[in-house]
Amino acid sequence: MAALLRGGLAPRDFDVLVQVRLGLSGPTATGRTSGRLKHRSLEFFTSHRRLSYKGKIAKNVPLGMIFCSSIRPIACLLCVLTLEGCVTGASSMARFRFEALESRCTGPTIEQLTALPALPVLPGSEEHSPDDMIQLSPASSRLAKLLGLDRALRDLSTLQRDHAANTGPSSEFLWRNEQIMDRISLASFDVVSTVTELDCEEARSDHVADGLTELRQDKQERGLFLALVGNALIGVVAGSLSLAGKATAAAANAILGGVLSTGIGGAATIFLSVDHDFSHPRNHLAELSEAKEFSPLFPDSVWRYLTTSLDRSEETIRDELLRRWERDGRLGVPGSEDARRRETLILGAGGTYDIRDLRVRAEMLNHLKSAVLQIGQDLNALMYEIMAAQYPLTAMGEVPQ
Amino acid sequence: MSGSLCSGLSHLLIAVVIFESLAGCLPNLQASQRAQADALLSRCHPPRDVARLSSPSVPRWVGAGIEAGIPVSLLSMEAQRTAAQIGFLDLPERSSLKQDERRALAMISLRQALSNRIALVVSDVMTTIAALDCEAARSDHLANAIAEAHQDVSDRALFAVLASDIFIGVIPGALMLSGLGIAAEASEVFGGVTATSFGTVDTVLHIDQDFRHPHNFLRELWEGPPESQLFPPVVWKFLNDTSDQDPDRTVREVLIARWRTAGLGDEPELLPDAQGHPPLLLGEGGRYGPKALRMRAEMLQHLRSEVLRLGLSVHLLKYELTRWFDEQPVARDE
Repeated sequence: MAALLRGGLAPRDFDVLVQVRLGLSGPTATGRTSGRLKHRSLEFFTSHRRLSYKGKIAKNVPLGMIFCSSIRPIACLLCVLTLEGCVTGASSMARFRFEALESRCTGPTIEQLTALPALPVLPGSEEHSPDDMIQLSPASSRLAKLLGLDRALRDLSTLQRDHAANTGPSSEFLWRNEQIMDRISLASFDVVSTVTELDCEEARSDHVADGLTELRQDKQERGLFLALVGNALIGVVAGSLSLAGKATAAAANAILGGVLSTGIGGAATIFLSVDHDFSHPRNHLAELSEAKEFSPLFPDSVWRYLTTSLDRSEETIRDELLRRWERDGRLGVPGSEDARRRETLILGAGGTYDIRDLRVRAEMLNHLKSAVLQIGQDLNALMYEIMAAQYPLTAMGEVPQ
Repeated sequence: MSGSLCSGLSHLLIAVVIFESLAGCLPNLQASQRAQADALLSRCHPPRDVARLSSPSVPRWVGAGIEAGIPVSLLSMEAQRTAAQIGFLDLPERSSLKQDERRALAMISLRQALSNRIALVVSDVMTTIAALDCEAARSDHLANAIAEAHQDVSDRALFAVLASDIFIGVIPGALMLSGLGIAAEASEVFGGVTATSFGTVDTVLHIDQDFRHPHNFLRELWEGPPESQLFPPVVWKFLNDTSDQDPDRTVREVLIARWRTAGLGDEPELLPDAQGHPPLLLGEGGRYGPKALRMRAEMLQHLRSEVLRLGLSVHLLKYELTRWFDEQPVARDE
């Protein structure tokens, strides 16, 4: 028993000419009819009597009609899931939106940090020979000069020689010693405050990257669920229809499921990207990329350490970092469109970042932090050398083992 | 007949084209270039080995203690212990300073000496922590980069699985509607095989990367030499001193025991293998997977936490010394 529908069909209600053939070779009745497509069976009225068919729908039935009926519940489900996805996404974004758009890492202004005058010259210290300076390693000697301590260390050495001949340390010695240790301690604070700010900025990038990763994961899970719904259409629904002898509907469902699964699967995997606006008006990386004498972002001691050549190669720590980033392809293949985009983004005031851009920024800040921490290690060595020269005999004894 | 042959060939052609495009999408099974560079060359500097500083007085001075000039035994037990660790020698016979030692300049000198020594210990702690942090971050960065690469491959493989539904659903559906039942079933079989193949990618996928760490804090801690080349002397002394968690063992031994027993499971082995080769984490580097990298980072963080405890103890000592100095009457210099 088959129903052959001729003419156009409205999606839901119809009023068309129908041909009904009773049996495989039975007579065909033709007439105008109206009815409603319901549960994939065709229910209609002829001009004479009411007939209901649950048979195979002939091939010339427009597919749109079948889809309309079979995917309506699925479409509703998709809409609900999509809406639910939007809601969850928005709430996840709110958690790091503030962190992304406004930095909480602002340090003290550099004007405050560099308002330190040079160490006063002790009366009569002009006569002290440079050879009088405490014997220091090359790295410590370089750092002492960089911090403006070389003259004070000469004074200290001379004063120490004087007081060794007498009974105890003079007030000048103690005063000079305090000045030197204060400068070293200030330089240590410079390092700590710079590292703290870099650390904070690094954490900020990582937090937003983590947030975007969570968001991506949520979207992906939702997309994959929909793709599995597509698989269900292929397997369960199409299989059931096929078993029920509705091969055309089964084929149509399989096509729909395949398209749905591939389309949504692609959107949930390789075409899925998440990004977010991220701003960094105080950008230490941009500051480092420009050669200049003074920096408004780095304390003077730190900036001078980064931009003074370490040895005869004339290469500074700043040069070394920039060369390394270029060699490692941190910003992408040099000269490529991607590299230009990332350079503008990371060395600018901010923009739309994806997860990888944020990770690259965090890594670069971490490298810069390591470079700044080298000053801390040099300061540590300088302190050892000054103190070893300062307290060699006065109040020391071997530690009992 | 020729029509069905053409149809079969065109299907085959479509399949080949789709496969080629999927193969092209598969990324390289390696971490990104930026991560590789960081993995092979460490940017982290260990604390300077003070025994090797060119200044001749330092090595002798480092092993010496300071006669604190104060009755250390008056401090709290914890502060006394820290004082001993950082080399402040006790003067048990003196309950208070003599008159000449209370002169203003002598007191200032003493106070400066102790403050400077404490500042030096804090600096040692901070440089050690910075180096450990840096090494842990190196491990984590590489682990993240491997996870990124793994995610890329997984995403593409997953897409390939879902795209196989073209062969299971779309093409067979179209073939069924065209009345080509056998071709439809063949396409479904092909799609099923493809989906299964790509589906197994994620389970068999393993990305690792050569990772170098010539300055290995973990090995130094594990081997426990009398003098460390990586840890500052005061930090090394603290790590080899009695643990407050277990009076029968040192801080180092407690930490190692924790690593030995704390559920290593399928994680990298910490003991040398049968041939006596050092395990991955205790060598100079090798092929690391994400799990080993995370484990290395965690162990470095554990070590960092222990070193930080020395900093906290010194903090307490500084408070007690400051209070003691502030309470002392100072005689005027003549």
